Amino acid sequence: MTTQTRTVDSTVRSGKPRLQRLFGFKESGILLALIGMCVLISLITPNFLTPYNLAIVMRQVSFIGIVAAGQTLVLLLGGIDLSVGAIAGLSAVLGAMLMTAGGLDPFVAMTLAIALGFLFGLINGVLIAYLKLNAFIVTLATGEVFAGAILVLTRGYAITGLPPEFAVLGQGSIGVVPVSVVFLFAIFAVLVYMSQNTPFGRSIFAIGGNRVAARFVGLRVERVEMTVYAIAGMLAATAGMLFVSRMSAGQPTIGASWLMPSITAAIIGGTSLSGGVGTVLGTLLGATFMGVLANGIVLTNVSSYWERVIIGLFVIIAVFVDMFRRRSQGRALVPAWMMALRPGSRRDDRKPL
Amino acid sequence: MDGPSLSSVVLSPAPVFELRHISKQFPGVKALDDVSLTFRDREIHGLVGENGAGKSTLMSIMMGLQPPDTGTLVRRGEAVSFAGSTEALAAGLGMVPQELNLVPQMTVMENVLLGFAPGKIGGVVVDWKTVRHRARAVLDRIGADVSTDAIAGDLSAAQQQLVQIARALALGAEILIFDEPTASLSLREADHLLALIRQLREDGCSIIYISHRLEEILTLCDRITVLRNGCKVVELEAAGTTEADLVRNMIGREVTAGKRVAPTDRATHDDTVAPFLSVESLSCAGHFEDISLTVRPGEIVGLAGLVGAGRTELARCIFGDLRPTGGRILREGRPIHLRHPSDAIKAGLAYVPEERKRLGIFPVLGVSENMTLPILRSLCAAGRINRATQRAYVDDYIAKLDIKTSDPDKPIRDLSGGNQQKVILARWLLTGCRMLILDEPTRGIDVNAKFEIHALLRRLVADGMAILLISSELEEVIQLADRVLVMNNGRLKGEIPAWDATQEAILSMAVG
Repeated sequence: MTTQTRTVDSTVRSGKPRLQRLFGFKESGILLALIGMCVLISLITPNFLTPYNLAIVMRQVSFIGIVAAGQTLVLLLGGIDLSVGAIAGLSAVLGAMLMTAGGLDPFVAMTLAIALGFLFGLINGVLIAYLKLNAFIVTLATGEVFAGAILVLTRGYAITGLPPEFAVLGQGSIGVVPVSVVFLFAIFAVLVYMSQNTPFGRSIFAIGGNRVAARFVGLRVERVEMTVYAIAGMLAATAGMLFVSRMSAGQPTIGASWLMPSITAAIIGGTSLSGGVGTVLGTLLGATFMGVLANGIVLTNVSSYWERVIIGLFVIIAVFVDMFRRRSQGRALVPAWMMALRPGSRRDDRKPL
Repeated sequence: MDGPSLSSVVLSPAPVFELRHISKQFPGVKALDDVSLTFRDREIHGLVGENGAGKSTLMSIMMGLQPPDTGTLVRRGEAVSFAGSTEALAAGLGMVPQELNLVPQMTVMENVLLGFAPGKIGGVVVDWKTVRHRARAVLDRIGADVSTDAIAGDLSAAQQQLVQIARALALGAEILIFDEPTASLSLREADHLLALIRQLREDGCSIIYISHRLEEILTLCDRITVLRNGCKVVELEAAGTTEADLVRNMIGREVTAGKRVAPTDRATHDDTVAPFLSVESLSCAGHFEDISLTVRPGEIVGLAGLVGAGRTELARCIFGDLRPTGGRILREGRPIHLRHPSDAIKAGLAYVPEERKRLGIFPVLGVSENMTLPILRSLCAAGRINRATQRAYVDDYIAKLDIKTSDPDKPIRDLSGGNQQKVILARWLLTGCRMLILDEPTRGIDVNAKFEIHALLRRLVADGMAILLISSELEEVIQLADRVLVMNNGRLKGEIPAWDATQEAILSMAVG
């Protein structure tokens, strides 16, 4: 062998730049962007930084934020869930019907609706994890099925006449803090803890980081994957029910526009579409950023048509950052489910180890 | 496309293709070192050598897939240089790679003329009539009983190979390179192929034939070149050459002296110790058949063989990743059923896979996490991972195995290959495993780390670890193993005790 002996490992070089140490934590980018945006808006208008306005912003954020939390877990795993919006809508409509037609106690009905969301997510999970179907296609299809089921059940009409005490979740406040925001923070607190400090949480990162290797260290890849899709469904249903409470009606349109923001919030928050990289907390910041931006546009009298243009530009920036990060890692630039959509990919599967 | 007439060959002996003084350096490895080869008209030229001898690199240079560092390619006496495979194809070279590269969704005729389909109306529209006609003609020429309209992916491996040959000929190849063409063929299909190759030679083609099957090489080829460690060792006339000659040249005389030290050197090995793991006539359809072996505590069993002999599949089977189709696995005399690697880990087994990057590491996760993934559950107190305990374990093994990393939370991808491999070994030692299955544990690792890992393995067996060592590096197997098992084509060919293990002995079992 003519290999030269390397005496100094590249890793021995140490000493990060001071700035990097100060802002070295993973969510620093989105946090800086969020603070910058808040400062900018409050410089333009005094109406932004008021408890009342911030409560409005965070209440808006709570619905999509909760959906995005589940989406983040799926993305960390290297998958994608295109059915979260439809699951939110279907669970919400079913929950509302359980209260009106079923005459159940609203909080029992809500619990059942969340359980249904878990079940819908479980269906995705079984199809993807055990039947090895492509996540993109499976959730595209089940999303259609669930969205269609909403219309079959409601014929397009809102389900009204809900028990008035149910409105507390979406409309009530504890002090200045809206109840739905309490839900948001509670859910994120649990998920941040879970993703950082439990074997289940770490296995999500491991599977997203290297699916084949995860099997070889003894992780039950399929079981984790199935569970994560089920959790995503459960969280979507929770958001759906909160929104029912907010509107005091089971609107058939609930969740219809939630899918893309759920992915956008995760990406802006630093989650990589190829799996294994990202944080749950980043998604909360990403969703908040989007909420603040939308609010700021209204407050500063900019045409609200600009909102989507600006969000879109921020996604491009976030993806750029993500790409540079991955370039330096030398990882595949394309997530697994995208590879599977490529023509001829079946040949790759047959490649022996 | 007739070959030159016989008289012209006699008159102009300028060889059809020459490689002159080709060298190629890869990071850390000299892949080719001053290799010169001459390919003549109507000749089948065999190319043999161990894995990593430089055959594939040489052929990819010939096909314009990568440039040589130094040296020239000469086509009929004229120096040429290929900026890409298209130019090599235009110069009359054609390749039938081991992994065929047809587009499986497309028809046979599209595949035959892919990228070169004749057009009409100014080349805008494909002239399907001509495509079909030309594909048919060339398929008939090689006697391929394949419909031009069949979908390539639906064909058998042998038929796909014929389509690949047809493609090379349709593009005007006069020099055809075959890389392990019989590896995926049945005996009868292989015979057909060899007859076809002889016929191509009669038609005026020159053939370069790469194979591990020495018998095949000797009966088919006119001349044979042996490569070893990137160097051309010898060029032989096939007539009068024996398999033993080839094997001797493939491994080189001088290294046979590198026999392992006497067995007494190690803690005396005791045949009466009960095996930790026994495998009884284990089979896995399509990979290996009827394998029986035992591994005792305190011994290293080497598993040698060529790539594709089924060694990795056997390891994956023992580790619960592949389901066996027959036979059984016993742990300390009792049968165990492994449905998943986690079952194997519980049984005290550990597996260090062959492709470290693809199967071993979690590149973006930290060293600490990479090391502790299998034991995360046992690190838990009240559902929470105890970071202090985790850190203590990790620091302990970073020190024990001398892993060079500035920070235990640094992403493992930033470490060198040797340090990554040490992290993976530490990962398994932390589980308290009693048997290690190592698949090419030192491939792609610098010499220093390699010695360290060898020393670690010796320490582990001295402490009673059972080790199954798969390695294509014969020297490594001979140095480390107490016994060497040789696999060939999915079967166990034999066992050689350490003191008798030579590279010749192993290789002749592996290639026979």
